[in-house]
Amino acid sequence: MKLSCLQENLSRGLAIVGRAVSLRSVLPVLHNILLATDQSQLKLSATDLSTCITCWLGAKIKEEGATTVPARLLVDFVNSLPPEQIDLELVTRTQTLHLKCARTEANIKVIDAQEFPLIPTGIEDRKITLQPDALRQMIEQVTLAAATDESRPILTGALADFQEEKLTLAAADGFRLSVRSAPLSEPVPEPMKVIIPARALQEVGRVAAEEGEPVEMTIPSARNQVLFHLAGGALGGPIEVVSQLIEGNFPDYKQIIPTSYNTRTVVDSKEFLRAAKIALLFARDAANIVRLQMTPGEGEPGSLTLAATAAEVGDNVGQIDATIEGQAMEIAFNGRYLIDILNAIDSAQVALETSTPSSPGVFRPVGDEDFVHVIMPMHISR
Amino acid sequence: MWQVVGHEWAVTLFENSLAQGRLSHAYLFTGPPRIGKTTLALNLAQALNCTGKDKPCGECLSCQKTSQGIHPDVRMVDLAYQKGLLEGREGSTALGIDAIRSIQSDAALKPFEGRWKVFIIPQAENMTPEAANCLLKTLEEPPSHVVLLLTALHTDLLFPTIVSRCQVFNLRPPSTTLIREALGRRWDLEGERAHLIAALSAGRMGWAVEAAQNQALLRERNGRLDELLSLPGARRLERLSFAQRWGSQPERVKEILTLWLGWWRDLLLAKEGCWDKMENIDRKNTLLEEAEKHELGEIKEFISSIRETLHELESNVNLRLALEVLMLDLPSKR
Amino acid sequence: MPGQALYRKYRPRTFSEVVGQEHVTRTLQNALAAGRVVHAYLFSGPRGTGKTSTARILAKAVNCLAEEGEKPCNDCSICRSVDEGRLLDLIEIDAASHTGVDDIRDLREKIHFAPSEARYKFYIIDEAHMLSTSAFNALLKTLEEPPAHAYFVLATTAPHKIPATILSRCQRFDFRPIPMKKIVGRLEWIAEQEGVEVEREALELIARQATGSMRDADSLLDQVASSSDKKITLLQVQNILGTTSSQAVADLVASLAAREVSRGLHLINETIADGADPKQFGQEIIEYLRGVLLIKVAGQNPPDVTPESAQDMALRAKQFSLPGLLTTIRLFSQATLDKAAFPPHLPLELAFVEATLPETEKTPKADKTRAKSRPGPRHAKERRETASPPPAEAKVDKRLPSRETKDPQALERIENLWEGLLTQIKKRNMHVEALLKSCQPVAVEEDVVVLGFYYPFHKGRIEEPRCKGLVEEVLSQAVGQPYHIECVLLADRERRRESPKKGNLQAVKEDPLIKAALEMGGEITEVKSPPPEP
Repeated sequence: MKLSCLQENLSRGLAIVGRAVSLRSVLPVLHNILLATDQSQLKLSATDLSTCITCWLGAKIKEEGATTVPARLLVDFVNSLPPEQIDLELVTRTQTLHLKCARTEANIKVIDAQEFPLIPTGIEDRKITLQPDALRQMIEQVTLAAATDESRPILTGALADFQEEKLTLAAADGFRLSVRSAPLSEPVPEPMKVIIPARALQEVGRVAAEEGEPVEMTIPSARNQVLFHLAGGALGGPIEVVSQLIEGNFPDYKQIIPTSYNTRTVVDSKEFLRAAKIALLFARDAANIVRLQMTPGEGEPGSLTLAATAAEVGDNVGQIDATIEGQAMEIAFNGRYLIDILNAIDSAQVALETSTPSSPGVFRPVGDEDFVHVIMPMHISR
Repeated sequence: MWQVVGHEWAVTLFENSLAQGRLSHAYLFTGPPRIGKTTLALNLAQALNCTGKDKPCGECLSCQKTSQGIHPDVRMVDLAYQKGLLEGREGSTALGIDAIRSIQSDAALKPFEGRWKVFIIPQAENMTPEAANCLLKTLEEPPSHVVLLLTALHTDLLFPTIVSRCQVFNLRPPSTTLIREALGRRWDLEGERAHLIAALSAGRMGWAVEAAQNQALLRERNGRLDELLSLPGARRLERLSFAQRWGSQPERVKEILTLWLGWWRDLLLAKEGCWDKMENIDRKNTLLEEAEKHELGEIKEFISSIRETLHELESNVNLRLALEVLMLDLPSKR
Repeated sequence: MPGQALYRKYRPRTFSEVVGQEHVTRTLQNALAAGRVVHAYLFSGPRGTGKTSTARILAKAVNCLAEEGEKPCNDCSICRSVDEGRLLDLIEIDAASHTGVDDIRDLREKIHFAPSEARYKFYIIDEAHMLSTSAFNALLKTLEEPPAHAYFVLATTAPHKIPATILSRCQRFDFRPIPMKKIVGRLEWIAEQEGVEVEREALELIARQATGSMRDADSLLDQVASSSDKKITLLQVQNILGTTSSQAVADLVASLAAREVSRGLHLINETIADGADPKQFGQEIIEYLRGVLLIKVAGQNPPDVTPESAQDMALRAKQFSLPGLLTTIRLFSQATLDKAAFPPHLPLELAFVEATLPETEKTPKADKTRAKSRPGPRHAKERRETASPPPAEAKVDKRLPSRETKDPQALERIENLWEGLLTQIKKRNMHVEALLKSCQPVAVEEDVVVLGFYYPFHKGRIEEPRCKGLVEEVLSQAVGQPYHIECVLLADRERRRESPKKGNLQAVKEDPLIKAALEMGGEITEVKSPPPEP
């Protein structure tokens, strides 16, 4: 393998794939980044066997080949070089990669590319195209509800449910649920459900936010992985994120969304968020419990009161204007969860639908039919 | 082709299971050290993901990656693995709960390249009680693409809750005849040397292969045996200096004591004329002479002493002291 | 999906499918019918008796949406979600991974959340005995006032490790080992469902091997089902289990009785080379010898034995002396206890050799006194200089150590002198000094200093008259008055190979051998202490 490329491109490419390099590793080769020539480009790949990131960048290929190089050293080394051309050459005899840039040279020990896991690349015919901004927001809104503890691995993922012309993404950790759907440009040939690790989706969201190109998504026929393909451009080649799917039965999320309500409270999202943040200052020492009181207005605008009490800290009460439909009621939520969801909503107003103090609260951004978030209330004993 | 020597009944069972699609998600292989438990586990891992015809073919990429230990879907969950997880920090000598937890989350993800994700836990008796209990859930109901393969010296060393979740294969040491044949067939070793190595291995195929490939092993055995044989005639001070010398090397001592145990067992057999079961077949004459010098009861007693010392080794006693005591038990020569 | 383990495929889904635990399932069903399900249960019992399965069935039953009829209905969305392992409100916690107080605190906080799809949140805490003390304390608060929307089942194979405070908050159900007949019945049913033909005797062997655990039985059935396409025979199951042919056992006992050492050693080696499991082999030898014992002691044929075998056994009964027979059984019992010996047949060989040794050679200690006057036939040689170690069994003395010595100052005095004493002894005998380092003075009673040892073989050494004399001599000099020493084993190390405690009737009754004799109709007339150690 022998090639040259620009330091800026290599550095940027390494930064993108470097996020998939595993810190704690079961195979030594996973500490490395795969460098391979691919037609007239340089391909970089890294994986922790859960998420794989691959990118292609423009390069002058003098000799085809592939190898793997320890990620930490390579990244730090390339980042320290001046923005000039880098020459790379694999010396097979000594199993080292020779790098040269301006007046700096280095030799880095490599591991044979044969040892690197086979990462699927390339988009298949059966693909789905998504707008990057919409996808990024969808991922943000849904993955916040995914579980972070591994005791039920299935809940660390998000369900991707493909039905005709709609993709629905859902995540739940037992205390809250996020469901968001998006229209597809063309219907899927057959309905399909897969579970994608939330961490991998967040990686896709991050890359999508930086790139701004449409994202193509495909599930290779073996159905063990999902592949996101971004046209890229800045580097001169595409970027791909591949994620292993999670095996198992996802909870029946439709069952969790209440179909009716007794009280519907519409408030200004930003005010609600501000009040929730203040309440949490007091609630964080008391299991994050924030009490919400909805008072209908009898002709005038009603109000939503947020209250938090911590025995050893103090208490706080905040009130905001609210349009309330239905009867007065009181319910308690985890303040952390309130802030998470309100942060992820960009509509001006949000509606909260509630039935009883012990049944789930439903949050809907006003004017956005595609997103719904459910939070389980907290049991309060007085 | 199955690489493992002996254990035909287990191999036949696997072949049937593979053919019938009647695979279990958890297998436990038990038996003495080095008789091929892990080899069998690796072979099964190969067979599961093999893309060739005669599974495990040993030729396809998947089989090769498995045997090189670089298959992304085959995890050898041992101390080295644990060390990798701890990012090089020094781990303990037991397999801890972190290693087992990592299996839990890892198992949920579908296989990377192959059809099955295989977790091999060699020396499962080496798990901490927390780790063993933590494994129970995964061991009972893993995702459908997961197979767990455990090895252990004996089921009694594991929690019954672990054993009960596995199909148990109680493996016996392969016969010395099988080992001799295998040495000839696969390691090109024939004649007297093959005969001797097979006999000395007493079924430990792993040791036999090592001895076949590494000449030094037999030389070392000869040297040590000579030293051990000189001890009964030695004065007490010399015996104690022997104890002192080895007292700081627990790993070596185990080998030496095993060698010595084999020798005294041979004496027992020699005394009763059971020539064909002996290990140290190259020293028949010495054995015969020595056997004459000891009572049957005396031989039996000393074998018990060696075994007692081997037991004590496991429980972290003062090694030198244990050896000294053994030296005092050694029947003296007239 | 190809191949799901039988024990998963046929995991009971209704109360009536739970095998052999009617006393539990009936009570639970009654409680459900009467609306008196309590909020915390403790399910205890050996592995594979249905604890987790029953807990899951209960989780379905309390949440089942069926209007009428038996619950769980296994048809409503909740029941199906549980069966598919996807109900959010069924939370199975494996206590081993959540031993810490933080985990339980986390649980306590999370339990205040309302259930998301079912009416009740249902927690199953498996292997509950693995929780730490602090975790138990944290859990206790939750169990004291469980929210109305939550149920708990603690499942454990080790109920004795559950604190009493927790036990008192739970309704406890003891799951019992499943009777062999019920296991056979269930296996027959499963085999039929699977279209596998198995001989009745083969199923019985599987059930016996499973020792009361349905899961073990299912696993074994799974394994033997793979061994052949045709009808599965007893022989195949024996092969997989490593069970020995009854002829080999009978032959071995014959050579034991006839004291044919060479033949016996050959038999052991060949039987094991043929695929027998040494431990199984040993157990079968014991089983056979028990039959012989029964004939000898009670004069009646053991049950489940063919007339031919009984005849053989009767012959042996005449050949063995009663003490000889008991010793032989004890030796083989010990041999089967030896886990992971190498070579695997060595324990059996040694037991065989020892059992066939003439009485005089059995314990070298006895030799010393007896051999001089009455040398046995094999005793042509000189006795060896040093005595051999005491027999392998370690007697853990329960009387001591108690720190409540009559004279605590005396102990303190000895402790203070100890270091100097060791130095004194070192000058005389380094070996004894090294041995003494492995013990500590634990009590002083009048003129006796009690030394506590961790290992029986150190204790045995010091108890040798030479060593003991030296220690007592130096000790007496140092203190300035005559002192004797007594050695005890400290009980804090787990030593399973215990012999019956001196004079303790209960302990004697628990001795496996005595137990066997009692089962066969024997009775204990007198308990004698073994002769005092030299």
